[in-house]
Amino acid sequence: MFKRCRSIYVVGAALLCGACVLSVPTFGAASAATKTSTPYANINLTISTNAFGPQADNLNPFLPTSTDNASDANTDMIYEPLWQYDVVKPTITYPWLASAYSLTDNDQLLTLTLHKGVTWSDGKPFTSADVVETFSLLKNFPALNTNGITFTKVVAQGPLKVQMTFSRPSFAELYYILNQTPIVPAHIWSTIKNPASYADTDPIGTGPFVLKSFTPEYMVLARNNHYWQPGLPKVNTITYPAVGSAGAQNAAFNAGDYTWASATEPDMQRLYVARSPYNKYWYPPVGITALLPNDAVYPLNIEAVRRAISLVVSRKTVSTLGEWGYEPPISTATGLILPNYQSFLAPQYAKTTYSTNVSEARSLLKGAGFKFAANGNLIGKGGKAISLSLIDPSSWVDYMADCSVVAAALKTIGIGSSVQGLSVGTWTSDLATGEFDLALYYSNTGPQPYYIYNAWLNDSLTASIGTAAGGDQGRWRDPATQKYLNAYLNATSNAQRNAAMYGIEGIMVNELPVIPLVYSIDWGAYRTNVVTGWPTPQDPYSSAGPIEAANQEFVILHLHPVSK
Amino acid sequence: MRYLIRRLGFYLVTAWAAITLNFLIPRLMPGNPVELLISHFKGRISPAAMKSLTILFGLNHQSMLSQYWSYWDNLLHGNLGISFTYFPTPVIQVIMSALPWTAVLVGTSTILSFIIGTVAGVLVGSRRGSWLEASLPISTFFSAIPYFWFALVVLYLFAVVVQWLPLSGGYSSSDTIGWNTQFLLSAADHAILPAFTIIASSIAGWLLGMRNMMIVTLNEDYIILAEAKGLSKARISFVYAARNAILPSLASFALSLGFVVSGAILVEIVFSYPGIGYVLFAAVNNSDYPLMQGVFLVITLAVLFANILADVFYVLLDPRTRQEG
Repeated sequence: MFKRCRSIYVVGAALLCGACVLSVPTFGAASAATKTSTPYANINLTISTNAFGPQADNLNPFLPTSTDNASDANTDMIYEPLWQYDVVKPTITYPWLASAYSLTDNDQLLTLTLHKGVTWSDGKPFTSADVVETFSLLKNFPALNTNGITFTKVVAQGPLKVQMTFSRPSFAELYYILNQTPIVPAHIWSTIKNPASYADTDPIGTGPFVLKSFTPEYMVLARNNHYWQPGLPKVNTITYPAVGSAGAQNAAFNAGDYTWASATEPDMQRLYVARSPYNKYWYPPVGITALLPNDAVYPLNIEAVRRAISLVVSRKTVSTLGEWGYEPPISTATGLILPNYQSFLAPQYAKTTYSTNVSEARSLLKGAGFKFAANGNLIGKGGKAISLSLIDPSSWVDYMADCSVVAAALKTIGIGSSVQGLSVGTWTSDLATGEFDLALYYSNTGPQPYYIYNAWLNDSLTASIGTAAGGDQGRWRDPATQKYLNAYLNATSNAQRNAAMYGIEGIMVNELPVIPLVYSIDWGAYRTNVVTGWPTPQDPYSSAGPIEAANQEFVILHLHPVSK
Repeated sequence: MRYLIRRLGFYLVTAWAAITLNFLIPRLMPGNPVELLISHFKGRISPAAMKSLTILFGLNHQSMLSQYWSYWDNLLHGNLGISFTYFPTPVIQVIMSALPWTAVLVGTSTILSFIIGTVAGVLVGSRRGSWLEASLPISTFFSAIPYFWFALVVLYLFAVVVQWLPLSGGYSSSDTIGWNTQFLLSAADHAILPAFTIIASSIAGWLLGMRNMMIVTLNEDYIILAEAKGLSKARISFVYAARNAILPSLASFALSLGFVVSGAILVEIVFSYPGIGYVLFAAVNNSDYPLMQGVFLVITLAVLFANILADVFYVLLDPRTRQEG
């Protein structure tokens, strides 16, 4: 994940690298304090996520196109979820707008107890009616239901209690219901005729911030002085600049303009940390960068071929040459993100790793009926030399570098390959329709490995070649995988869920439907000149980058002014 | 008059063809807006979003013909549709918030570049062989080097090394957009670097064109007559020669005004300028059909209008075009 932002930074970094050496950070986020009685009046932060360009005045939290979602800015700062999750420690969650929940009746009844004393930023109290309205919106307007939450009904049981019923066990929906659904006020949203085309320019939320001003170039949030968590936040304003290009963003990052940024340099220690005692960074793993084979086409439909490819691609080389050494090589053949998913790792696969062994790969291929020609080419069915296409967007420079590493590795087993740098549009379209052999690809995120495996392997998301698929772009169709995924959905205990996950881990280890290479990371770079309390490897209370959904609010509430 | 009517008919046909192409080109591009939006999130969105976004954007499987029909219907009612990238913001609103930035920045730079280049061209053309001719290779150098690289170097020197001017954007975060001094000063401050790079890289065209026309005109018989009558060199250059030599330059100036609204995509990307070029860039990147159509339409109409303007100019300025052949 987050490849794109980083990728373009690297170009910017190369073009402007002189800036790193010459310019001294002259100012942080603390600008002149205005005369105001608000506490922490001089605590102003600047946050930069993607280089996303000018935005439209729209904060509708349900639309992926709204400014807060499209730019990854302002997640949960205005509209909050019922529960907070932590991508780096998926087993630890925090009660938020709900103070408790229980899943009963064969996991088909969710009872939510809401937090008492929460108010909307217009002063009205937060009650169960708001939660009922929010989920009713998703049911009544399928265009808003990006997470595909399905339930039979949602009813209020008193002012602070809500019950949702489902037609099947709903554990896998919990993450979307509790964490990925922003709760909106019923007294405003029930009056909106079409919430799908509602540009929310005056958002009223329960969150620690309110919208102060909006221009296409800058979104400024100000402290919600009536926030329900006493004494928080200890920050007065937050500015999100809309930077149009990665080069400009990188220059501002170098100049020390950003208090918190999703950013990197080719050598962070020398080009960022060494330039100011306030500059810090932490890049925890949050996802997987994998080689996605098209499992429906010859020869990648043969397990031995996928295994041979996995055996010759050095994960270490991909990490150091393709990813500047920041994305660590994957350490388990189950494809789990470690240490985040340690508790989901099957004991029988705990010791599996990936190794590089060219001669073993060659004998595997010979065993599967392939031959090597005198010139070293791998010869397959019908005496034809094997050649594979390797597609990725040319603008994602690290993916392209990874592709060259893979192409060089394929050569050692006689497989010719053509690395094709495409436009993002062509790439997403080719991937969706299955017009490819191999592609570097990212993983989904979620508190359990299910969300990753589901998006990669669930054949109900896939389609025949030529038709666009919403998931499983590798066209993996396997009854055993499907059985485990369904078993997970229908499970009502952790033991059953773990058994299902262990089954899929076995398929990852034994059949390699996807070939994981390195962990993708959350690019978190921050400055400690104004505030401190950021997540660090020593205090990993959250992931460290501003892009990772559901983390921005959580991190900001942990910050406190530097004592001078 | 008949000449102008004939031209108007030609423009109507051109407008129809261009508007039809505006409809076709975005749809022939690879990629679909839903897949592109999902790929933007890189896994931080559920696979179920494909379904909800298809409903949201109303991308049901209408036939191309009925889409084309409703496109014209909407267009004639002045409705440019709703942008996918900035959903649910209407296309017209996206364009109107970006267009003034581009119009002022690129418009002013184009006019300045034209004036400076033309005056310099008159001077260089009338003083052949003098040291002024050195301006030719220098200005050509700036227009020949890749603009992207030139702009980055300028940005690096003035915004990073000496820090005289701001790095990016059209204004500061503390400004309120409107007619207040703080905002106007800040906007001017932010426009200096991009305007300078546009002028520096485009001046050579005006300079060269004007200088070459001057050389041709200065060899005309009536100039020799003027010299024989003892008129001053400056009067001959500016009042006699330049008035005739400027005709081709004026025509291309009118045309270049038409391209002002298409913005300078590279300028706006390098300097993170909030103009129409960036909007078009975002629209293409996101397969945002309505927004692309809208931006193309504005560009098409502006170019056609500039062409009409150039035609009218010519008819007014050059009597030869008024005579039937």
